Amino acid sequence: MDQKILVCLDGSKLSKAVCDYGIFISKTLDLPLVLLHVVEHSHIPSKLNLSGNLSLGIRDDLLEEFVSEEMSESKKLIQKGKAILQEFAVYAKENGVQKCEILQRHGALEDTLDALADTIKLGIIGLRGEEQNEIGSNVEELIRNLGIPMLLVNNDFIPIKSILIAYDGSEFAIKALNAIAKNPLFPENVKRFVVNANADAHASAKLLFEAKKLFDQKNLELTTQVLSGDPVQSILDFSEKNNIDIIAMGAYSHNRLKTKFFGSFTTKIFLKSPKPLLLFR
Amino acid sequence: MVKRYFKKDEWFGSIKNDALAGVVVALALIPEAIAFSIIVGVDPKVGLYASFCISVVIAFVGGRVAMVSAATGAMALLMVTLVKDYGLEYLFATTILTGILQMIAGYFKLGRFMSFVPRAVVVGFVNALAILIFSAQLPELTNVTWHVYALTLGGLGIIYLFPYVPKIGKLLPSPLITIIVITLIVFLLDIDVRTVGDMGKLPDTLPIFLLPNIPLNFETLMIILPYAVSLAMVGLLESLMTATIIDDLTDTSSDKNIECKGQGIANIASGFMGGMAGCAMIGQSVINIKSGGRTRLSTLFAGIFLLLMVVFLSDALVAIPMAALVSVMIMVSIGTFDWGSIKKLKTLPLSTNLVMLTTVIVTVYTHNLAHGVFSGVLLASLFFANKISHFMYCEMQYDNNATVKTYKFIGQVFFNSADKFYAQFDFKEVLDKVIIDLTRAHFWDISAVYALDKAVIKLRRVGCEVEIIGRNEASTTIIDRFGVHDKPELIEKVMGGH
Repeated sequence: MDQKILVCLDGSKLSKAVCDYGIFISKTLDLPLVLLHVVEHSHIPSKLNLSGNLSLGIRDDLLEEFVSEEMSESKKLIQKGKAILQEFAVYAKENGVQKCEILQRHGALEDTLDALADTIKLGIIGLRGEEQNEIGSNVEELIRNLGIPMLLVNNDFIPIKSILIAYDGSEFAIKALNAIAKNPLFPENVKRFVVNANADAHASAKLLFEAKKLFDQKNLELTTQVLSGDPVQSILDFSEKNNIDIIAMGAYSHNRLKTKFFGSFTTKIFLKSPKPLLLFR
Repeated sequence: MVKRYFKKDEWFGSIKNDALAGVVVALALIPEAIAFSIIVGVDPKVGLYASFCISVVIAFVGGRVAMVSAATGAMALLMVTLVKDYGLEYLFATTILTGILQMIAGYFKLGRFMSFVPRAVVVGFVNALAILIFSAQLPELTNVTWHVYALTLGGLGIIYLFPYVPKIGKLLPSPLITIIVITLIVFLLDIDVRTVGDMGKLPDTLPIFLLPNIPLNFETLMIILPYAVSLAMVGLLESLMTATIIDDLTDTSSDKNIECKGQGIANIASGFMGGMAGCAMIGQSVINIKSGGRTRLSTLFAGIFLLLMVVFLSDALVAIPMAALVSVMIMVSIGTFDWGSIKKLKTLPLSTNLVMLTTVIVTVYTHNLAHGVFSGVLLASLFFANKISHFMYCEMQYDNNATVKTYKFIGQVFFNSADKFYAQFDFKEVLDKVIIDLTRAHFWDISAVYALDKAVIKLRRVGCEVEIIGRNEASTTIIDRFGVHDKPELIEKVMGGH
């Protein structure tokens, strides 16, 4: 089974940063890079017609109207997507990526990623700042439904020199920890930090000790830190103070209902963090 | 497909479009609810409560987003005798039972049986429905003064011509304009025609929860069960067919089994809220799509607007002449009709047209769409069996001495081709041996096996050795299961009177 680095491009401002991360990771891991553009159909008619009457053969007429309208819309979207993909394919080649594929699919991003999940090592997607709240819920659904690690890019590209792992001992966090401990994406010279923010300092220390043990086995250096105060804020503060380039964590370990009431830790982090987020689930 | 629990895009695609579409749809729901309540012989409020409950509930639990469900003509026509013989309370109980049956159908995933309904039957169903909706308007058009005809024609004129008015033509629903204009004409000229107010009570409050006041015993069940079964089937058939139509129009997909369950839940809610059973409606769903409704919000709005209009504008509502509603219903019937199918009659095969026409004729005659569909499906299956039976022939060959004959069968052997299979054998020929080569034949059923047995036995009786070679895998299983030609005690049974 081939493992590829998948980059989702939509032509927004972040597309370049998303592509840069894709190039960086693809070269580091020596894995092929796939540039994906998803043609998402709105299916919302542009013309407003509230006449509300039904004439003879109305269904055939309506169908014809929708088909021709959607056809021209789809063609435009495909053209636009092709241009974006071409541009970044050239860009990736120039930056030394050997194996670069381009891929264009119809449908929702979620379904497309789900269909490709088997061949993807890591998915990279950009989060547009101005639509963060809107995007937030979409990303939550995306991460919850897909089993693949996702890198959420929200800022310009910075080479990854240090990584912070927010570890809470949950199933997905353990997955994140294991993945990072043995991942060649983060070579030995990357600075690693594992933090835990918990009201109970003892429990925190115990979790971090386990994490440390795991990395010791692999002979990897690790800094651990117990954080106090508001978990979101303390993690962000710590990350800023230590010049962290990427934050990794297990995502959405609580069920939907709990998340609805208390808000999701993951969502809060990615809405506030200035650094890209690597999510495992 | 990715499994999603709350699909935001099913609700909030375009709130403005959906709200506006909801208003337009509500205007088309009111005439149907009132008109068919009258046909059932109950107060219009029964139909209106049903339309409200069903469209609101289905907005949450339906499997086909943006499909409009409410009190419908197809369902109403099945309830007429129930109400006449047993009264309103039994109607509520039947509605609840209908819902339960539909939910069961949903849990057993009976939606998959829709694949047995051929395209020609769907077209016939839709056309029959259009004819039923139209003919249901005729009582309002018979034994009336010329005013009614004039008003109805005027109403249709407004419906079809108003959209051509520049600017406002595409912003104001023409059915609304029709209702307002006709009502004003009747009011100002003081014309004596029937109005909605003459037809029975309209809702004056929000619907309330109530248990049907009927004896809960076996006898009651036996009264309502046959009605509920018919209603459940017709409701699901129309809903699933409408769902397919909306799927095709909007290029999106729907979950048919969730739709079955949803229809069930909606009908149960309707029954407990003093409404009658309903289902999806083609005409109004198309209006929704045409008006830009694409999400669950559109059908939710349609239900809420309907109730608000009916409860708060009931004084105005009673003044609406029936002629105005008849115009709107004639429009719905025209929109339901599959005009393309008439244009294609000449180019389609005769068997397809016969299936379509049979569905239409049986439905219009029985007033029961389920009967029409069953007739259509049955006829289509027979035509299919007939077509497939042509895919069987036999090649015959003799050896050098003309004492050994090989019958090589190619194609499908089943009930309809079994006689043809048997007829291939010439039992008058004097031969030493007959080889029956089934390498390229497929045995489908016991009729095929029976035909083979009969032939083998007959050949043996005229002194032939029989060898059967090259049965393919499927033929082997079916022959092994049913075959008797190697079991002497059963030979006489197979040969019967011979």
